[in-house]
Amino acid sequence: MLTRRTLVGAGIAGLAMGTLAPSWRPASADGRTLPAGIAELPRVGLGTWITFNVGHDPVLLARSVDVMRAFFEAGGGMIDSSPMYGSSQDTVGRGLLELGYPATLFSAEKVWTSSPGDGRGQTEQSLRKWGIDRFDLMQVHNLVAAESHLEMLLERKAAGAIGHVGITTSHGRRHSDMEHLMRQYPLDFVQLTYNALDREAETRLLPLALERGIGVIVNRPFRRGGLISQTAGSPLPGFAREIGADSWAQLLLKFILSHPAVTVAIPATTQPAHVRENKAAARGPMPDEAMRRQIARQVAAL
Amino acid sequence: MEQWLGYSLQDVILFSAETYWRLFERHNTALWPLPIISEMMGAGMLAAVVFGQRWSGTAACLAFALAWAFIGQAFLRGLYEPINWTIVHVIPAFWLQAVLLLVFCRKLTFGTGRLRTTIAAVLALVALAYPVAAVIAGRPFVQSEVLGIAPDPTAVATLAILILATPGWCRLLLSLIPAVWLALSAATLLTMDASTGWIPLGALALALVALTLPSTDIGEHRS
Repeated sequence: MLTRRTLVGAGIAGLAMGTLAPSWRPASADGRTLPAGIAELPRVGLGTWITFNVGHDPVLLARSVDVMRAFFEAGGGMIDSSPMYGSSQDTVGRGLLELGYPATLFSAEKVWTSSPGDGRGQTEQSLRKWGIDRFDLMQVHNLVAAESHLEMLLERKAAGAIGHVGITTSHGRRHSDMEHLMRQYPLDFVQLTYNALDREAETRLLPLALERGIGVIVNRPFRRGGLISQTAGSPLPGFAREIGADSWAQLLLKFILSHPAVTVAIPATTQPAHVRENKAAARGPMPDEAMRRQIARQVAAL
Repeated sequence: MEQWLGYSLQDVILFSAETYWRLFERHNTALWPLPIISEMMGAGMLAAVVFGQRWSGTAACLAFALAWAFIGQAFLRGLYEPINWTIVHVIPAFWLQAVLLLVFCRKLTFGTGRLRTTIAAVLALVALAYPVAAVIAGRPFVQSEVLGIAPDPTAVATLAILILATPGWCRLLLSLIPAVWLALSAATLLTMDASTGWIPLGALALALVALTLPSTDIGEHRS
């Protein structure tokens, strides 16, 4: 059985040999680096928190499938879910079944249980709900029983049962613990909250991710819709058109995506039109540092 | 439950208000025309209890026992649990409430004190007026919470009946689950920014006041 010590040792050795993540290479046309084994990853993914937890409601299930259809029509990429999110996993599974398991899917799931022994079984259950046989990324949700689960996940990654390994947090919680784990384990991804108002990650976590070559997934890009409401009716900055942002949603996403450490943002939505709008934010120029400061200032002032 | 550490109530409401209110739409549609029948039967039952019909207290407890069991199975298990898995721990409480009402209904004695009757009447009207509240809150009528088939108005009506029973351990026992449910429901709704969350909270506060009134308020006793 792998232990943390052997894993850390293996991680260091793996780095030297190029066999165990994180091993990095420039991959994207936009110059981002991606974890080994990922040729390309669209910069705007799809979150499922709240929006896909619709139970057996046939109307809302159909709408969720429409959201997924729009997502894959616009290039697909990462769909992120968790056992914590009610029926969201079932909804994703239904959408994938109806859409024929699109090849552009990058499946991101989480293990979320305080019992270390339950992690593997929970992962198997998640696979059944998605209707797939392997996750591209497995993350430890909110760092719950993180070290035990990471050992299990890294062992499964080494066996080829999962693609990549990560850890998550949200709402700016437990950044110190996340930093510690980023230094101790050979992680491929971290997931955290980052947006024009929640910028704590800029001080330590994002630079550390860049330094260690860890991909960054950004959750709550709109603060559960709060930033969209907050900016509604407020005029866009003059430079928005220059960088191809037609709405605050796109500008807020461009703010996130323009940080050099950020790999992908995962906004959640119930509207296919919003999927297309979010996806479009990844195209065109990104704001420079002065524009980023202005976006943050303007949003904070609202 | 280490996985819950650090979360606020808002973080653990994992569904949208739209999805929540759609539960009632699906419930009412699937049961139609039971919502109308249940509301009318509930109105008659509550009127009989409040106006002191001799048979009514025990009969109401039996009817509400059936309602609690039905809601536990049809609404909580069938509809609510898939979007809120914490409800799996609540369903047994609804069944327990049904059993408690069945077992202890004959041990209750009902009185007609003026203040208690007034409060019980107000609560009964609140329970019956939930569909009106839905429309006022801007939801379609079909998304109404209906007495006898939806948890909140049923819990309010149960407390209205129990207020008219003589104080004692039996009434306390029967009041516990409805009161806790109303507190949970109010917290859920207010976290979702639903203005109707004040209804279960206000009803609970009123019921608690009435339940702590001294027994001298009870006048003529009947069973």
